Amino acid sequence: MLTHTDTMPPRLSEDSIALIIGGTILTICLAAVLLTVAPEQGIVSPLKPYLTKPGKWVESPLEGLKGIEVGLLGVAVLVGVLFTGGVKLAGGDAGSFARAYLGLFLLATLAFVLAQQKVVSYYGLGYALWAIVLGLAISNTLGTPSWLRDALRVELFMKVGLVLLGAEVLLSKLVALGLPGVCISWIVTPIVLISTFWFGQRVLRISSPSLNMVIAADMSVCGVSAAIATAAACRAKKEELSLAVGMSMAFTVVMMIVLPIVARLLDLGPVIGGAWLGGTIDSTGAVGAAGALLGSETDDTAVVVATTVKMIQNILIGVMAFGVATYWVTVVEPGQQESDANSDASLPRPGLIEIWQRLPKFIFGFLGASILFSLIYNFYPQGEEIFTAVIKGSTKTLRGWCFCLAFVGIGLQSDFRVLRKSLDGGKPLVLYVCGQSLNLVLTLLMSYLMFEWVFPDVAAQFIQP
Amino acid sequence: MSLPSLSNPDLCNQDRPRWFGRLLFVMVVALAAVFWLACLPRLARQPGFAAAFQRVESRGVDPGALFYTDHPRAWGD
Repeated sequence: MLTHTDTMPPRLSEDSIALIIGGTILTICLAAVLLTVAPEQGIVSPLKPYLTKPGKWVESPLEGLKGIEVGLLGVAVLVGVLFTGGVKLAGGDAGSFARAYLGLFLLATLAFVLAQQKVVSYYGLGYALWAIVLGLAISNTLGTPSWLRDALRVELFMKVGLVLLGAEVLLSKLVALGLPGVCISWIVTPIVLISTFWFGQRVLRISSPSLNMVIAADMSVCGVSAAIATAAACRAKKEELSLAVGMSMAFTVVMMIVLPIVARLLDLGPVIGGAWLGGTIDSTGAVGAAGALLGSETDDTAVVVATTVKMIQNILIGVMAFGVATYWVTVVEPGQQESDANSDASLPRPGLIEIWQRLPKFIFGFLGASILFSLIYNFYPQGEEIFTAVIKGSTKTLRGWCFCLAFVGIGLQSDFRVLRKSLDGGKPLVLYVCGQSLNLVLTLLMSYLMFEWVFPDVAAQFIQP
Repeated sequence: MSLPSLSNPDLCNQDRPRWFGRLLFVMVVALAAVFWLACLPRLARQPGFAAAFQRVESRGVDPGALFYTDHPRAWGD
């Protein structure tokens, strides 16, 4: 499960440590910008040259690694020091972690390099997939080396990454497309999420509710980032997250090529077509690429609408993770306890204090970071420039590394045979196809309703002369 | 359903001889190397791909983006 702590007797809970590490990173990155603000030279993060990831390449991986040695070293040291401290706080063996972390970091670097090849990147096959594949390739052939296991703090890497991601969730972006965008993203998406979960539980009878929920969220919200947040919120198993990510990426490649063609055949136009792509294609990156395929050389409308609808869905992540976590501790887990106890009598529902105790606390870090950075962005003097410097210059890169390290760890702890069992006779695949079909129909209807009939003026604003 | 815990990866592959795992690993690495270092660069040189890369880059789109902030266009780039 994504919440258990593998080997150590905890002094502080993993969620508390994730909040401490995530909070420390955000504080360091924000302070670095605020203490060096020089408006006449533009606001930039002084940490930017020291925090980077491999770049895009075409012919040789060395193209992507050229000139970033200091940036890679900076990430390795900062992440290494903070997480080693976190493991120490949790009562773990910091020395063993630090040694193993170096190996894990090298594998994460390799995952980034594989993902940054331009053809691979063009199809939206990001580092999350290659990190899992890399880990699986090692664990299912050689077996995961014992010395590496001390660094496999998958849940910790993931939760710190989620706290950092929270800072990127600007609440004001919700209204970027006005009411039509809110309706497409905040009415259709929850309907598809809840319907798909219900379908999986009641019709398909998928044996793992957490697998069902991760697939439903991944498919209806925004792909890998939603899958990570939901998996942590509902305590999904590592194999379940791997399966959801793999399925999402496979369908993303197909959808980003096919949907623009269908949108052209249906003559949806760049606004309705863009909204349809943005609301249905899982991956945030592939939405932009599909929008570019739908648009023309001179018209960016489809890209603008598609990426904005997806951005509004991105903002849903925090609310969704909080909702899923609350639903899990109030409904799903008590239900599982009842069935485990094999008792006819219903156990009492947990009270507020118990709900609070059971809720994964990293979610409050995510929401807190989102609120804090939204306030800075909207109300602090030069807030937009400061936000850009902090996120673009430092925390976005560190968030990517945290997720990449987590996904390598997931691959290293997974077994193909268990993954095959998670396939549950193909039910997750059926769930995905049925949920996505509903998503395609509802999003198209809502896009038509909003941009054609209710708010045609909004659509007209987007059409470029 | 309760899936078996895999917190101990030694449990994986225990029904397979070690040499077979090593051979499999070498084959996977060789295949990946050929794919990434020969096939993909060759594909990338095709005119269609060059145009596709240009199309997304000029619009500030990163198809591998995990979150909207990963798109260069989110920052006006």
